[in-house]
Amino acid sequence: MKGIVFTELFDMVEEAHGYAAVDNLIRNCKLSTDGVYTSVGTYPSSDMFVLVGTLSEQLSTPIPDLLFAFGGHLFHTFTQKYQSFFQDHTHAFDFLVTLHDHIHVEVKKLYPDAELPNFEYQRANNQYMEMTYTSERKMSDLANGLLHHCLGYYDHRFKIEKENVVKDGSVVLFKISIL
Amino acid sequence: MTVQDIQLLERRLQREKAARKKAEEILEKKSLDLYESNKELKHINEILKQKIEDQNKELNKTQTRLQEIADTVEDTLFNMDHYGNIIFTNRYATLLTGYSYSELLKMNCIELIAPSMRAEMSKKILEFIESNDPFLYLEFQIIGKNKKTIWIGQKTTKSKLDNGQYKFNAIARDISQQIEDRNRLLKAKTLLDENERKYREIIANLSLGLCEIDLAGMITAVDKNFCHLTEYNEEELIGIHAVKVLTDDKGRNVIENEEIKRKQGISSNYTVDIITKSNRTKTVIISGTPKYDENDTIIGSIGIHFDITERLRDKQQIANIQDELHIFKFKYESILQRMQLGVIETSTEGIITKANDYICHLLEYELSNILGKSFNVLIGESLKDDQKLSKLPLDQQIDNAELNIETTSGKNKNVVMSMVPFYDAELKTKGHISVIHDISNQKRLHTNLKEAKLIAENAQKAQKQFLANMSHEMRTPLNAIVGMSHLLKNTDLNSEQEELLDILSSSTSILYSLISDILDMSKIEAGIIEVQSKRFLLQKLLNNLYKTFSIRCKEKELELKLSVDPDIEEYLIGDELLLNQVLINLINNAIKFTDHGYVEIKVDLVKNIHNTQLLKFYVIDTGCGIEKNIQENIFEPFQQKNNTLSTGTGLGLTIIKRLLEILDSEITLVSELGKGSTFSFEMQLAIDSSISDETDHEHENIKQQFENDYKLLVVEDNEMNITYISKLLNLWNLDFEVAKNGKLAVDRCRENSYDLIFMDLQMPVMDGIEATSIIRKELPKYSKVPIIALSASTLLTKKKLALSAGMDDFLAKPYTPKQLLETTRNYLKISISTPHTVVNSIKSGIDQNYLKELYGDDDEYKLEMFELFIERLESNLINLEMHKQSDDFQSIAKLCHKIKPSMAMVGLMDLQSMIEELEHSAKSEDRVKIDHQYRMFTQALDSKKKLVMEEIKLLKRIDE
Repeated sequence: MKGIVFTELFDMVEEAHGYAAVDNLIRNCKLSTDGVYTSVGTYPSSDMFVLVGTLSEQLSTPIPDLLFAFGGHLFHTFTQKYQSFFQDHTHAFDFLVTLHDHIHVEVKKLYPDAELPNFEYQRANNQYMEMTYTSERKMSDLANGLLHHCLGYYDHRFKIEKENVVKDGSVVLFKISIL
Repeated sequence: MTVQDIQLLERRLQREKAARKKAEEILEKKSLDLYESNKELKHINEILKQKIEDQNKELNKTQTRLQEIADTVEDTLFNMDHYGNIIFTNRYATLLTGYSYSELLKMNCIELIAPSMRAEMSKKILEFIESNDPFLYLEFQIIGKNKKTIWIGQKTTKSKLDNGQYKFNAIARDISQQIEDRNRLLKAKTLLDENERKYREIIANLSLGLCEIDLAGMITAVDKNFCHLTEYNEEELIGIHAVKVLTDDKGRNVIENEEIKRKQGISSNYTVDIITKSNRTKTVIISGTPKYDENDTIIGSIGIHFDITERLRDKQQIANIQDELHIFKFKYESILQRMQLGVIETSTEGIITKANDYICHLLEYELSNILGKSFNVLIGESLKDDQKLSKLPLDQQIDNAELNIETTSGKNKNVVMSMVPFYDAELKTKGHISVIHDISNQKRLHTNLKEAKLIAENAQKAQKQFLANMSHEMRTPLNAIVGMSHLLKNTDLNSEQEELLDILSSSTSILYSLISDILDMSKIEAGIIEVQSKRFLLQKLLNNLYKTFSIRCKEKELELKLSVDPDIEEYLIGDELLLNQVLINLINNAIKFTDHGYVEIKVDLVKNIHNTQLLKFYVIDTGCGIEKNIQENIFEPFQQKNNTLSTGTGLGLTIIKRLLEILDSEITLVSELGKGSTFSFEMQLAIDSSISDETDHEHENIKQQFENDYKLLVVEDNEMNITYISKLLNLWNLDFEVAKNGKLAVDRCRENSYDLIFMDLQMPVMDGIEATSIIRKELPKYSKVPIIALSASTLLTKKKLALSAGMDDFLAKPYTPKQLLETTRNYLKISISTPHTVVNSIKSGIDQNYLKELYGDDDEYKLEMFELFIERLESNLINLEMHKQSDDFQSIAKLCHKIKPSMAMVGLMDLQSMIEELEHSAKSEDRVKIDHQYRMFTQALDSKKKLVMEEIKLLKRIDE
């Protein structure tokens, strides 16, 4: 998993609860790196699961809610850092369909070792599309958070329905309607 | 800051430091990787660059070599891209076209092609692209830079590129010289063929036999004439030895001697006898010439054979012919003597040299007295001066001249004479032969026929007159009976008398209709019904019919329905009287044969056609219906639905059918036995768009002023008619011109513009029909200008002829000022500002049509009835008022019933129905209704009484 996910998670916790919370989190987890992460590095996913699980306990927030919030934070960071990916579009769907075939390709160029979730799209029209999320890391809630903020970013009024295609959450269908 | 804080910051610092180091490590590694990759890339780039340079050099070399080769080629080379743009060419192309390389490379190949051939060439190239042909050869003209036209022959191949587009390679060659040579050759060959054909034709026409032989004397070619001459066919002759087969010993010697000359190249003519297939001897003149091949070597000879056998024989026969001529002459003369035609031979001076018996007989002369006399004096007295003998050129003839001649005893004879010159052996005119045919008898017969025709025409006129008189004479007493019966009803009668009177009335009306039918039928048969087109209110006509028949329907307890399509125009132009008559007959019939249910009068608008409406009239009943097998001939005279029920002449439907034929329509019958019948017919009526007042205010109308600047043309040859129409048109302030015949009218129309043309039909030089056809066909600006026929003939055929020639309407002469005005107004489409006033409608309350039917032309009788009406009115009204005061409903009903018919007698149909309603209300003792209806009736009567008085005044004036 890319280091940016870890550094951003720490940033989010620090913003909300101060660095003491980050320190507390790191010290309470058994991590492969002793809590040292850099955005350009790559680290085992298990570290993330441990961090999220612990954070959930410490904040008494369910993991899905935590991941959803983290999605929102991440999206905000992306729009700051990679503005050019977003500003070419006026409709969220136009951006979303570029995600897998375009942005992920660019990411892969920079970080050949990045393991990215797979997205499949079915766009009916400008009002409705479906996205299927496939990832062994089963972090569809994170994706959900990203999606919500993305739709908000383009000023749409929208509704997103999420359903598990495979029970364990490795394949998830998002039904996105513009209202 | 607490210790914990410091420890926390220290931990953070350590983590950040570790992270930075880790990041630097990663980045350094990445950096190194990048440097290595870059180095490799640079190397690859350099290799590539070198390769491209090498290839470019090679390519340039090839290109140059190719151009060099191309430039040395003595043909024009072009490479074109998919769109025909020239992308490669060679030196020769620049020489041929005069354009430089760079100019050519900016051009599209089509620009080079001569404009006249571009379309054709483009088409062929497109076909080539579509086709599977590997190449295309075209010959066409191109235009060089110096505008010179060059013929080129071009072979084009195509190759398909990876992107699906085509590339074309073309090799072209200047073929101008070839084309010129080819054309010259073609011309020469045509000329040669032409000469050869002429030459052969001449020989064929001259009946000259052509025969070619080779040096061995064998026949190599013959023509038809030669075959005919020798009686052999071509197959038999080719390859045989001419002299051996076709001549005897004597001829053979002559020919063989001649053939020696041929071999020396000498031509000659000689006469020889030949033997034909059937062993006959024929004498021919042979014109022989040697025949050469291309190298001028003699390869045989050609002989032209001219058969003179007949000519030789003719000489011998002349003597025989002269004998025969003598016999023939004798025969001819005896025929001339005996036939029923006069024959005279005259000398060039016009002196009679020969004459046959018949002419002597005709002229009552002895032959000896005729011979030596002048033809002009004896026969040609009545010939025109330039046809008289000695004045007439000698070689001229006269065909079928009609002459009057006088016999010795002074009788006049009509003869037809034809005269031809005759010649002597030197073809000099020797004199004339005249043949004379007596046609006095035919002339007499012709005159008699003319007289007979006149008599017949007079008889027809008399018949018409008789029918007109009859109509009046028969109807007058009947009118009296009908009228008197009505009046009798108004007197106090006992029930027996009333019953008798009813029988009298119904019998009279049957008799009346019988006579009407028979007279109508006779009129139709005599062809003297005239169609008159006048404007009328269809709704009014139908309302009157409705009123007239609703009484009869009530008597039979039938419902009478009337429905009229609301889209039908109010004012229409047509023959109201005939239409009315047709409908009366149909409704009469319907009521007669219906005992239950209803009778319906229905008018539908079928469609609008220009300025006319096509209407469909229906008379529908729920009566007994008509059997299928009778339906076909029910329109024939004296066929009735049910003979046992017959109460009429059986002419009713026939009259309807004939009247509709006159009106260009046709009756249709749909019927089912026991269920009812529907009679229908269509009628096309013109729309009268001008709104004018209804009444006969002829004076006002005649003073009509036309405000617009219309210009009319009157085409008329009769001075009196011109004066009449001029007066009227001047009165109405209408500008017009007069043309005195059709030809002048056409000329005027060519020069000027008119808004309306009145055209007489019969005129000298060119009649109205022809003039109209020309105006319609040749002058497009007159396609819509109305042309109105003016004719004294009311015959339908004449009218049809006029309309089919393109005339719009037909005004029968003599026309009244009002008719002329109405027609003018109709066709100039002038709307009259006079509104349709209430007064007019009240005046129109007198139904003149009904009165006309009732009284015909008998104004005296009409006056009597009108006066009687007024006389009685006062007392009737007083009585009615009294009954009303005393609420004596029964008496009101009775009195109403009594008064009712008298209303119809003065044509106040609406009052009649009002009083009828009053009668009904009185019977049902409905006081409210009675009050209302009584008031309405007396008010209406008050105003209409004036109309009746006016009518009386008018009638009295006519009487005086």
